[in-house]
Amino acid sequence: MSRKILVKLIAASFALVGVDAAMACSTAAWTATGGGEVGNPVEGEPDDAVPVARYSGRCGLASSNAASFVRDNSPAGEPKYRARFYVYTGTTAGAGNAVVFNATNASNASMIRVAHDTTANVFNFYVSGNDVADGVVTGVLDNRWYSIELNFSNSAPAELRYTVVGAGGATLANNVATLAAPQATDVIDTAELGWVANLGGTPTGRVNTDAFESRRNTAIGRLPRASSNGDAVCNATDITFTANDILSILTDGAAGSLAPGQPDCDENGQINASDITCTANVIIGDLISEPATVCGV
Amino acid sequence: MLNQSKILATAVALLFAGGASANTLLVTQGGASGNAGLVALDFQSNGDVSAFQFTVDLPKGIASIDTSKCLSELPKGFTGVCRSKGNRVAAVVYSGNTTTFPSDVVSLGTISYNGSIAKDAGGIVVGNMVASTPSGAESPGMKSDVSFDDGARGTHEK
Repeated sequence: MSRKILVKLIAASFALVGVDAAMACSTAAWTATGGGEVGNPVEGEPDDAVPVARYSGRCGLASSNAASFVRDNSPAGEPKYRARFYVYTGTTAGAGNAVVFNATNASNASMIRVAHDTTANVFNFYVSGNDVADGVVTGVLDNRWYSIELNFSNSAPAELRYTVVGAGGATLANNVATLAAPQATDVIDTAELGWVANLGGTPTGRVNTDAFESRRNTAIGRLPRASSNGDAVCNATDITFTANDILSILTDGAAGSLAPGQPDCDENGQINASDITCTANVIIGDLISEPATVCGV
Repeated sequence: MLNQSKILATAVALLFAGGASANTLLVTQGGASGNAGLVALDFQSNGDVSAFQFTVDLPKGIASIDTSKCLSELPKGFTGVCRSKGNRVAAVVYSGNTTTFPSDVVSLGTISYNGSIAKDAGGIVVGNMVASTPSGAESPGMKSDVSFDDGARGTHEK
C-alpha cells in the first residue's frame, strides 16, 4: 500500500455513518481499510426499534459481549500515532476489565490497550503486552460517554499520553504520560475499537463506541459537547436540534429528526429533556464566561 | 415599578413602526427607586421561533443583579435559564417540544438591580441574539429595542 494512500487513511475518521433517515448505519469505512467487523457489533441509531446510543451523528456501535469490535488496518508500522474515540461505560457488572481499544503491531502484539473496570471505576492504560496497568484514571462513572485521546510515540520522547474527558465535560486526565514507555521498535499497524476482549475477569453489560479518529502528528481534540447541529458553536438552534432528536427517539423516527452533532449534553447515553436544559446551561456559560468559552471549553 | 401598559404601548408602537416581521427583544428600563432599578423584558416573535437567546449588559457599576424573575412570565410550554455575571445577564428560552412562541408581544419577566443607571450613562446593550425555528434553522432578523419607561428610546445592539 502506498504511503500516499496511508496518509489519507490514517487521517480519516471512522464515525458510524448514516447519510439520511432511509439509510442504515454502516461500518463500511472500517472494511475499506482492510479491517472491518470482528464478532457481531451492532451499528445503529438511537431511534431504531432496537436503539443504539451514539455520541455524534446518527449512528453508534454497540457490543454486548467480548470479541465484538471493529478493526482499522490502515496504519502501517506507525512510530507516531494519535487516536481519539468515545466510549460508553455500559459494562456495569462483574469484575475485571473490558478492553475497549487495542492497537497492535504487524505481529499482532499489543502496543496500546485501554480498558474499563466497572468495579474499580477506572480506565486502565497498558503499554505493550503485559497486563499490569501503566496508567490508571479514577472516578469513571458507569453509563456515561467519555472521550479518550491517545498520543503514542516510540522516540523523542518515547511515550504514551492520554486525555480522558466525559460524563458532562469533566476532565479526569489531561495529557498524562503512562508510567512505562513504548520501546523504540514498537509501532502501530492495527487499531481495534469496541468490546475487544476481557482482561482479569468477565464483566457484563455493553460497550458503545463512536467518533473514532486517528492521525500521526496533530492533536485531535473533543467534539463540541452540546453542539447538537454539529456546527462547533452552541446557541439556541442547538436546543431545537436536541428537541427534534428527542422527538425522533420517542417516536422511533416517525417525528422529529436525529441531530447531526452532539446532542447528548450530559453524556449519559440518553437524549432527553435533561439534555435540553444542559444545552441551555452550556449556552449561558458561553455567554457570560470570561474569558469566553465555546460550548463550555 | 414599571407601568405595564406603558411597556405595551412602547411595544405596539414598535410594531407599527415597521418592525413587525422581525423577532424583537424589547427591553424597557424602569425608573430607579433609590438605588434599585428594574428592567422589563418582552419578546415580539414573528411566529416561527421555538428557542431564542440574548444577553443584556447593564451599565457597569451595578452592585447586584436579581434574575429570579427574569423569565417568570413565559407562556405555557416554554421554559428557560437566566443568569448573571458581572453586569451581564444571559438568557435562553425554549420549548421542549419545538412549539412556536406566540407571535404577540409577550412579557418574559423582569431584571432588578441595585445601583442607579443614568439615562446618559451609555445605556443598556443587548447582544448575542439568536432565534431558532422548529427545524433548527436560525430565524432571521433578530433585533432589539431598548427604551425607558418615560418614553425615551434608543436601540443598542452589538
